[in-house]
Amino acid sequence: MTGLFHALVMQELMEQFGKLPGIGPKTAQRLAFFVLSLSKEEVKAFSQALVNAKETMTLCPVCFSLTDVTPCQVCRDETRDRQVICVVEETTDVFSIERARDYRGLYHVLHGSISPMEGRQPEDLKIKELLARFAGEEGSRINEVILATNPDVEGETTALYLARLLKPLGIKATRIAHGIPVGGNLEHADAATLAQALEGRRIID
Amino acid sequence: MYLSTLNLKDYRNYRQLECEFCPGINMITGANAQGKTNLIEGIYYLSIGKAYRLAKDEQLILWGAKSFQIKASAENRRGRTNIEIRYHQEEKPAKMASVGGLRLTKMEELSGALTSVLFSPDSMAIIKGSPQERRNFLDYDISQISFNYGRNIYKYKRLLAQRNALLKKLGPLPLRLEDKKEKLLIWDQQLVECGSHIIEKRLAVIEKLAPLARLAQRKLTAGKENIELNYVLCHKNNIDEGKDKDIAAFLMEAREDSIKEDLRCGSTQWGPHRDDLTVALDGVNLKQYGSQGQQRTGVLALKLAELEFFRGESGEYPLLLLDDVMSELDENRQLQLLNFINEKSIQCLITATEARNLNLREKRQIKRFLVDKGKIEEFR
Ligand SMILES: Nc1ncnc2c1ncn2[C@@H]1O[C@H](COP(=O)(O)OP(=O)(O)O)[C@@H](O)[C@H]1O
Ligand SMILES: [Mg+2]
Ligand SMILES: [Zn+2]
Repeated sequence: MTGLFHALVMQELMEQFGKLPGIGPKTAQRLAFFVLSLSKEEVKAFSQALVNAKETMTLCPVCFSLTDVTPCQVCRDETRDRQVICVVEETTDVFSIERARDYRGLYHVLHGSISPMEGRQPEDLKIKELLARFAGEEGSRINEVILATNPDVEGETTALYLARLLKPLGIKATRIAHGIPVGGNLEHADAATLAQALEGRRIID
Repeated sequence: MYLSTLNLKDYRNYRQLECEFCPGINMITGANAQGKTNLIEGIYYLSIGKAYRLAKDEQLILWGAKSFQIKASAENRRGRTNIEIRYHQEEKPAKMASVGGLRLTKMEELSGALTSVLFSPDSMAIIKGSPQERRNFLDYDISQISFNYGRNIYKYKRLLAQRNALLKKLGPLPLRLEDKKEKLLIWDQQLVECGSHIIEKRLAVIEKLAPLARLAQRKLTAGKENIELNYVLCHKNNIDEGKDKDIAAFLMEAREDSIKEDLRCGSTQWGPHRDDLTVALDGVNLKQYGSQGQQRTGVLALKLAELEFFRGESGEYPLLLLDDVMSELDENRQLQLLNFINEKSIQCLITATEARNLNLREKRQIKRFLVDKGKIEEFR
């Protein structure tokens, strides 16, 4: 061990960086020192960007994706196919699928998957909110739900759970099928793979 | 199948190792704690996708380094295949593997790239140890011949961990039993389905292993002893009771029977993770009643059966890794084992603390190596 300690302000900064996903103590230290190498203006712009993003982005009241306008770009787009809803775990998945450009329907973001180990039960996800979307005139137009949760155990379980809820409502539930490596993440799948996956979806019951 | 070259980088006590093995017998000698077992472990890693001694991947990295690498070339009838595994503790994903230059998306796809049978003093645990040891014995073999099996094992573990987490949470809640069951259902149905695939595969493999082991044991004991293998479902004394039922229905029943107990202790009391394999000699359990010598012979018979089993599945004998076992076998058994691997032209890596004279009936290619503090050297 060296006898050298970081100044308190640096310790605090590292702690903040350390909260970011995938950032260990070493990287946090590197990032913290990198910030010092920036000009004061750059640092101000950086911190302002964080605050702005947090203050501006809200949940779309319809599909629950993170958005700066309400309703979100997709939900307000009149040219989208309102008969299909694609259910995903996170807002980032919406972007992955949009990049593939083939999908023209709507979305619904669950904000996670069923995972008791991480303390997430069905009631902790936006599932009630999904069911509420089938009510009313707008809701009666929906005839297919694509379950595009991740192909890991938790995502599969969530898809199975949703398929069972949807069945008595007479709504066709399909699951994306091919191309995505088992245990893989939608976020990392490339556009071509996702397009193929959406194409090859299968009905589950 | 045989291993022609091996490359270790920052693996255990090897900073850099390059080694060429011969298709015959490779004698690896060295004093204690020089790295003989580490070498064997590194090779077996390529067969099962992890360290067999339950060590975590981080522990395999040379102290002070951040990553390790295992590279090898395996030769079989179809030609040469390069296999590579890399683990880096600070990268994501931490573990990467490729076979024939193709990157694997799952470690289970490694299945069959280099099949091997490992025989070490720890192998006695197959008979003497806990049910876990016997399940590992089956699982390590089956996952080498079936990619799907490895995937099911992985999935099952995950489902089980999730179900147990839910059991712990639901247990103390003031809900009706029916409501708790309802909440568990989505996990239970998947667990039953996945679990039944695992059990069915284990049963099918035991059905093939059992006669091979019996044959080997009879050979080793001049026809005096008959070894029997039986799969024991944790919820019934014997598989026979469940024979007319399909496994999934049987598991569903087991779930029904133990749901209260599961909720009480917060863990799943049924399923393939609780099953066992019994090894008996002429109807008498070898674990409880076998002599030391009988147990040893029994393990040897199981290992010989494994070799034949792999050949039956893939058309080729696997590589045989004998870590520190020669000294544990009496002269007669040693000779029987060596003659067997000679007759069948099985590639073999033998480690020992002292170079020994192998009394081989026939001439076979032999290469000799000396391991000293994480360095290996061929000598004549
Ligand atoms: N991750 C590691 N980094 C460096 N050395 C290690 C590591 N893991 C184990 N060792 C060393 O390897 C040696 C044991 O090697 P081993 O292969 O079991 O010896 P043997 O030749 O007796 O079979 C011990 O000295 C141990 O300290
Ligand atoms: Mg050893
Ligand atoms: Zn929206």
